[in-house]
Amino acid sequence: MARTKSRTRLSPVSHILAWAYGLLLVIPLYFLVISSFKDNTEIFSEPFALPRSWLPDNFVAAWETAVLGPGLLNSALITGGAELVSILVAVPAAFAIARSTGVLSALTERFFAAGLLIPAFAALVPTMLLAIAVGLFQTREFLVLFLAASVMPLSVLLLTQFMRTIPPELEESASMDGAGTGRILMSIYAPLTMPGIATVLILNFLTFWNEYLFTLSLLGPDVTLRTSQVALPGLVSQGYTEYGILLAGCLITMVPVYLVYILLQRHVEGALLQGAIKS
Amino acid sequence: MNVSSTSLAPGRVRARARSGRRGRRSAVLLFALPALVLYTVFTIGPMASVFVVSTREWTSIISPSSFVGLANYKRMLADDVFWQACINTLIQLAAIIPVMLPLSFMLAYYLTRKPAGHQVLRVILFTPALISLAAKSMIFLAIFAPSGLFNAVLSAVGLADFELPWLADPHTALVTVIAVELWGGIGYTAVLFAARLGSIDPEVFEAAQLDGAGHLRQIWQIAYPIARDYFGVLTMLEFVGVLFSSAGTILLLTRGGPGYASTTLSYLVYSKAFLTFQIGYSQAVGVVLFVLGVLGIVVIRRAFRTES
Amino acid sequence: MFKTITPRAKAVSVVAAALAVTFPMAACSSGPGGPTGGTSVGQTTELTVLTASNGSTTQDKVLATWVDGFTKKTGIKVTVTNIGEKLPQAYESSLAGGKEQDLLFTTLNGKSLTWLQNDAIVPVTDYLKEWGVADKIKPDALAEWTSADGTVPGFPVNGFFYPFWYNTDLLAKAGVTEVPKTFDAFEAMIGKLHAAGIPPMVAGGADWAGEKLFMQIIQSYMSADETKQVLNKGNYCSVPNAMKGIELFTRLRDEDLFVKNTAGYTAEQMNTAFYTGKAAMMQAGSWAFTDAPANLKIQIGGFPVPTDAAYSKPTSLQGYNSSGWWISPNGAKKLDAVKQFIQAFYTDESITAQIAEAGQGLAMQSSKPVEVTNPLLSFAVNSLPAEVEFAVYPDLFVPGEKETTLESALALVWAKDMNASQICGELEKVYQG
Repeated sequence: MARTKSRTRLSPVSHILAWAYGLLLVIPLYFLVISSFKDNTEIFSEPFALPRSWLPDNFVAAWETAVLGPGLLNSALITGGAELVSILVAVPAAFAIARSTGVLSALTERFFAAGLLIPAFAALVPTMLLAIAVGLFQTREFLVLFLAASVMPLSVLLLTQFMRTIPPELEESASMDGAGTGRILMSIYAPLTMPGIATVLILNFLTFWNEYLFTLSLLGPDVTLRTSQVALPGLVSQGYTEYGILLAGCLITMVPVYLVYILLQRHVEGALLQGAIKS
Repeated sequence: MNVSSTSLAPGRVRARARSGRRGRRSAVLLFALPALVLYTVFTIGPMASVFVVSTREWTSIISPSSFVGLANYKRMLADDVFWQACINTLIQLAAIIPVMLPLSFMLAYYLTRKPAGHQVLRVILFTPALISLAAKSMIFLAIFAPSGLFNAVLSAVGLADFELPWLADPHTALVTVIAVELWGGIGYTAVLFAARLGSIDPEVFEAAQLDGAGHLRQIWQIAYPIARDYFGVLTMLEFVGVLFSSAGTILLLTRGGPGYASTTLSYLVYSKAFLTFQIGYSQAVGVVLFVLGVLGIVVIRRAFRTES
Repeated sequence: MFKTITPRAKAVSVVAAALAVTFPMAACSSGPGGPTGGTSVGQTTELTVLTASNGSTTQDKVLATWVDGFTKKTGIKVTVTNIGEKLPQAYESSLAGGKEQDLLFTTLNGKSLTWLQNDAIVPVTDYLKEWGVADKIKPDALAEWTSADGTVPGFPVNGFFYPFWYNTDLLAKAGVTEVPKTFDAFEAMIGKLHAAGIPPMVAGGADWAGEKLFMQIIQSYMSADETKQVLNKGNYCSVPNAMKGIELFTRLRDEDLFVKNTAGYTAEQMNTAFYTGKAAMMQAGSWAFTDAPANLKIQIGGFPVPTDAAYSKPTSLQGYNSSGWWISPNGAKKLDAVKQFIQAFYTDESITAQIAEAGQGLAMQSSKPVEVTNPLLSFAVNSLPAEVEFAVYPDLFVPGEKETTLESALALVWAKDMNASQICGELEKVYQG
C-alpha cells in the first residue's frame, strides 16, 4: 500500500471552517489599519470603506503627540529585561518541578498555580508600597522585576507541561554518561522544549508589552520613563478623542509585537522531539 | 513512543537510575529557588492584602482606611448587583469554556496536520492576542455601533428589523461581550494547543489513518489522550482567565452596562475599586473570586487527573 | 495525601515567607521624593505640570508657547506632561509615592471632587486675594469652584457652553423655517422632520453625553435648588417635579424624538452622525465648535420647555468646571515659583491668548473685552445668554463616586419599554449602591 505523506487530505469542510474563522479575525484588523488613515468623521460614517487618503498624517501626529520615540524605547527595555529575567528563572523551575516527584514538588506546582487567583489590581497597592519601601518607586528596574514575577504562575505551569513530555530515558542515558543536572537541563531539556519556551516567550512578550495599569502606577507619567502603552491612552482626552490618531499609535506599537511573533513562531512548531528520540 | 512521564526503562537501568535520581530529587528542586523567591516576594503581600483590605472601609489609595470587620461582606451578600454579577459570571463560564476549548483543540489539530497555508493561518489566528485592549475595544465599538458593520451586514441580508444597539441593550450586552471574548480566544488557544500537538510523532496519526480512523477519531481518541494533561492545564488557565480578566474588555465596551447587565464579578472588583471608590468592598468580591477560583481549579484538576 | 515536609523545604519556605512579609511591613514611610530639580524651598527653578489633555488640542499648543515665554522671562523651567483622561489615577499613584507633579491642569468632577478632603491638593482660597488673581476670574466661575465651607480647591480656567445644536439646512428641508422657541413649536418640528424622513435628534445614549441631555430635560419643572438636591441625594421618585420631568423625557422619547438605537451612540459617534447630516439636532459642548464642518449650517439654542415649566425661556447648560490649576503638596513646597506661574497665567495678555487663540479660558476675564473668532463660540458668549436660561449642570452635584454608575444606569432610559417610575427606580438604585 502506498505510504501516505504527513500532509494528509483534510475534508473541505474543515478548510472552509478554519479559513472562515480566519476571515473573522482579519476583518477587525483590516478595520484597524484603514481607520488609522482616517479622521473621526470618516471612521464613524464610513467605517469599512477604504480611506480617502493614505497620507501618514495620523501616524506622525501620534508619534509626536504621544512622544512615542522614548516610549517605544522604554517599552523595549522593560519588555526585554522582564523577558530575560522571567525565562531565566522559569525554565529551571519548570525543569525542577517536572523532574522531581513527591509532596514538595506537587506543593510547589500548586503554589505557583495559586498565583493565578490574584485579581490583577489587588497587587497594585501592596506592590506600590513595596516599591516605595525599597526606594525603587518610579524606576524601570523595579517594574522589570515585578513583571517577571507576575508571569511566574503561567510560565512555570506551561513550561512544566512541556518538560514532562521529555522521556526519562534521555536523562538516564545522559546521567550515565556523567552529565550533571545543569548540563542535562541545558543540553537536553531546554532544546527539546523549545516549542514551549517559544510559546511562553511570546505570551510573556505580549503581557509585558501591552501592560498598562502597573506600568502607569509604578513608573509614573514622566515622559522619559513611560512606555508606549502608557503614552497611548494619553491621546484619549476627556471631551474629545481623535480615534484615527489613537489607532495609528496603536498600530505603531503593534509592529514590534508582530515582528517578535513571526520570528518566534517557527520555534513553536518545533519537531525536534521526534529527531531526538530517533537518534 | 512517549505517552506520559512514567518510565519504561529495563530493570537494571531503573534501579541504578532511581538511586541516582533520589539523591538528585531534592537538589533538583533548588533549581526552582530563584523563581520561587522572585514570585513569593511579589505575591505574598498582594494575596494577604486582598483579605486584609476586604475588612476595611477605604475610598482611594491616598485616603485613610478604617477597620469594619465583615461589613463589606454583609453588604455584598445583600446587594442585588453582586448576585447579578455572579449570574453573569456563571453565564460567561458556561458559554465560553465548553465552546472554546474543544473548538480550539480541533483547530489546533487542523494546524498540526500542516495543510496548505497553515503558516499564514497561524499568524492570523494569533492576531487578536497581538492587538492591544484599547485598539480591540475601539474596533468592536465600531463594529457593534448602531450604524456599524454588524448592523450593516444584518440589513444587507434583509434582517434590518434585528438591528439593535448591541452593546447598549440590556438583553444583548453580555452576549456581545462573550462573543468578543470567544472571537479572540479560540485562535489564541488553538495556537497554544498546536504548540503541544506539534511534538506528537506524525507516525501515530498515519498509523491510525491506515487503520481507517477518520479525523474526528484521531482528534479525540488519539491526540486528546496524549495531550490530556495539557488540555487540563489550558482549561484551568482559560477558567481563570474568564473569571479574572474580563474586566478590561467590559470596561472599554459597555462599562458593565447598561445598568448592570454586563457586569461580571471581575468587572465588579474593578468598578468598585476605581470607579465608585469602595476599595474594601471590591476586595471582598476579590475574596469571592479567589474562592471560586480555588474551587474551579480543584474540580478541573480532578476531572483531568491521569490514572497513574 | 500530605506527608511531612522535609526540614530543608521548611527552612526554605520560612525564609521566603519572612522576606515577603517584612518588605510590605516596612512600607509605611513615603520618601521625601520630589520631581527633578532642587527641592529646597525658595531656591527652586523647576516646575512640573500634569494635564488631562492629550497634547494635541489648540489649548495645549497655546499653553506650550506660553510656557516657553514664561521660562524665558523668569528662568523657571516648566515641564508639561499630558496624560489624558487617566490623570486622576496617575496623580494619585504618584502622590502615594511622594513623587507627584507640582501643578495639575484638570477638571473639577469625579475623582478630583474628593481631593480636597483627602489632602491630595492644597486649597488656593487664600492665594486668590494674596496673589491678586481673584478679579481675573468670573464670579460665577469662582462660585462653582467654591465648596460649601468657602474653600476653593483650584484656580478656574476653562468654561463651556452645552447648547442644543440645530442643523438649519435639514430643518429647512422639512419646512421648519426657524429654530423652535416654544414647546409646541418643538413638537411640531418633530412631526415635520418625521414627515420629511429626517431623524430629529441623535443622543449619545451610551455614555456621559446621554446623561447630560437626560438631566437637562428632567430639570424642566424643578427649581435650581430642587434640582441640586435631587442630583445629590437621588430621591428622583419622591419629588413630584422630578417625576414630571422624567415623564416629559419619556413623552419626547416615545414621540421618536431620538434616532433609532440612540442608546448605542457614544459621544463621538453622536457628533459624527450630526456632522454627516444623519440627524437634525444634537446636544454638545462648545469644545466641539472648532471641529464642526465649515459647510454645516448650525444654529445653537436651547431646549424650549413647556409653558408650565419652572423656566420661562428655553433651557441650556453651561459650566466652569472643565479645567483649572491645582497645586499639589509638592507644588506647595515651591510656592514662590508657583505664585509667579499663576500670576503670569492670569495676566491680560495670557488670558487674551487663551480666549482668542484657543477658544478656551472662559472662566477668566481680562480688563479689556476679548474678541472671539469662532462664530459659534462668539454667538454663545454674546447672544446665547439672552435667549436662554441656564439650568443646573449635573457634574458638581452628583457625588463623585456615583458618577459612572449613574451614566451606566442612564443607558437604560432610551428603550421605550422603560416608563417613568421604572426609570426613577433605576436612578434611585444608583444612589443606594
